[in-house]
Amino acid sequence: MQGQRLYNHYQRFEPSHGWVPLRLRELWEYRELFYFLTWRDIKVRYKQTLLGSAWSIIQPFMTMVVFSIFLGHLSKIPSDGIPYPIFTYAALVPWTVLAKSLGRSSNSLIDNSHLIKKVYFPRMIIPITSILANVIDFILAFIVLLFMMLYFQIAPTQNVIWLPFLFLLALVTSAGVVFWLSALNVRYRDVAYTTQFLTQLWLFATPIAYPSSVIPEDWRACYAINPMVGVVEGFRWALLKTDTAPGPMIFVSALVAVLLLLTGAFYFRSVEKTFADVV
Amino acid sequence: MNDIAIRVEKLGKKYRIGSRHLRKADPIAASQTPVVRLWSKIRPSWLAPAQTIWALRDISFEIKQADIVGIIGGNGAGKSTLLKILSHVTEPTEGVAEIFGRVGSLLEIGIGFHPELTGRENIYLNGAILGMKKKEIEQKFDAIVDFAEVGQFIDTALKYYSSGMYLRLAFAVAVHLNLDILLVDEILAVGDINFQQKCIHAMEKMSQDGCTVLLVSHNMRVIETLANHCLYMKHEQPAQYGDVLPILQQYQKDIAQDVLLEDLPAEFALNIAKPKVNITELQFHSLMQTLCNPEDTELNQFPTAPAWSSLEKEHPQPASITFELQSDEDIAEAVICINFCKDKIVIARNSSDHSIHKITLTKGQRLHCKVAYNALPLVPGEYIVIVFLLPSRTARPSEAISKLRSVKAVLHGNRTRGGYVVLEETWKIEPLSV
Repeated sequence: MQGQRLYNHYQRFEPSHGWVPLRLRELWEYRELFYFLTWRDIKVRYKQTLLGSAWSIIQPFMTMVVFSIFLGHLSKIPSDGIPYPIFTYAALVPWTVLAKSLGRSSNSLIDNSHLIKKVYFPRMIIPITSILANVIDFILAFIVLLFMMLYFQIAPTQNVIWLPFLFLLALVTSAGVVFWLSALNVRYRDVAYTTQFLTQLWLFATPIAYPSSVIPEDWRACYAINPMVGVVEGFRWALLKTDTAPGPMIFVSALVAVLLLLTGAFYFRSVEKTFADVV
Repeated sequence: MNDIAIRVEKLGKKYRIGSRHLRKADPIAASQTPVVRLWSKIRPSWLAPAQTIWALRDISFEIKQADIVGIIGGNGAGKSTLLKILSHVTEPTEGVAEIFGRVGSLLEIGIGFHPELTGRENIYLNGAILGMKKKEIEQKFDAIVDFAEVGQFIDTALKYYSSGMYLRLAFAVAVHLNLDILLVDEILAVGDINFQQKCIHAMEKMSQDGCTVLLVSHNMRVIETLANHCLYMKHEQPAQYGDVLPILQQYQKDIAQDVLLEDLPAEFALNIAKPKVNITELQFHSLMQTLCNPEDTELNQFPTAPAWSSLEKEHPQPASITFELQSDEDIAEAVICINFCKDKIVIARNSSDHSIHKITLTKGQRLHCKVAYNALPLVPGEYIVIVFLLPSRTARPSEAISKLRSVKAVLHGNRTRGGYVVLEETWKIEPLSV
């Protein structure tokens, strides 16, 4: 019986070469660690802050206020016939998931280097949990969005059933980018300096402050190579009844997001063996 | 059936230090181009050729189930690297390691502990990181709290814990892992004697339950009492694996040739940049040594020497320490410190404790110093004698005006006694009549 137990846990360590499999089963075996690390991130995030989890609302909300005053009210940027504040806030809510992932999760491996150097578990858990911790922020910001819809008296369409899929798309995009950036960040700390800049560029390349209807029809599919275009337009379409049919845009965005996730995951796996040595 | 727990074959791990950029290019030819020359002014490390070092090379051994293996060796011998490979934290560069069983590693105690979380929350978090299932943690929760003796503090944030409580909690989780193999890296160096005893008992018990333990330690006494096999790792030399006693003796012989300061308390890990005084010819003489090599030392050093036959029993023994001093400057007041160290315990003496309050040194003058003990009141064993000079009686070792010199002192005799100092005492135990 003892022998049986031991053979269940046989491990062999030797130098690996070339492509490394994703080993998704192993990730599944560690599912409880996902739970505990996510829980830790959420629990610790706003410790010793005065406003606590209100911070997760303040950030998108204040951005919405500034955009509404300067871009909506003063610059008269079109908003597809929807009140500008809710037009931009509906986009900021999913956008914040990506923005936080870029900022915080790209650094997650370095923040947890004490774990990486001392104990084994699939390294992918670290960036994934730091993205999952952003989901709570999303939910809080989303509740504010519901109140705003009430205030502006906008009823959601039946397309709202697509919302979980759109949210998943935002998560997949975040995960893909974060796999790349966090893994690169271990070796090249330059990444930490580019994320802020990248977030800014990406913000303007995504229809948050403006509608994607300003892009010529022929170019929209091309525009949707930025996967956040599909997510943001999808959110507006599902909640606010904008005309911009997201059909081909969603398709292109989803394809790019999945591609980003797969390449990111394989890249992450192929370099993770060096993390403990260089982090 | 197969009773092997760990099998390691020709294991090696290479690290690269220095630049990765000019790995293959000829650095001298490359440095001729203007771009490279300019860039190398900005980042000088860029041109440094890449170097590799083998932290570990050609290690092979087999460990049987339920063995307790002590791993010893100097700094840089690859002990921690070996444990890192076995715990899957890093990958070997060559060779194979096979592990039969569920492995847990304590490369550091309290891994993943978060100061803002409570003791209870940290038990769950730490357990999960070390590979425990939530159910398992729930089952063992009370036992962990009992072992850690943190009682009513269990719902207090960890940042308010004393360091002792922190250590106990961390170790408590570790010993309640349901493991076949436990890898431990030098965690006994922290914590007080009670904690160490507790850890040792816990590891003994795990071994009785069939768990294989690999233990890195600089504390020879722990290895001697706990381990039944020993792995002695050396830098760039083949490692030795076998029974504890012969390997420990070999190790101690090796370090006696080159007395290492690494076993000493941290306050002695000093690098005095500009020593004013030079200490040379430091020697320790004990009666036993003298009797063994009468032509080496002057026998008359020990006028009160007891008879040879009674030596094995006779403690304390006469001993002396001699050294020479030479100063580069005139120093009006100096204090000579002599410390006996063992297991990070320091028995400190200095010249101001005694009749000599001030030592005056003149530039260039050589002094011969001798400190004699009619009976050195130390328990038999091996000590490191450290000699250095301080500028005043209250100065700390970090302010030393000489380099730290050390010599190994071996006091022969019966080693069954614990402790460090022999006290002269009279005992009286008699029944109390009511």
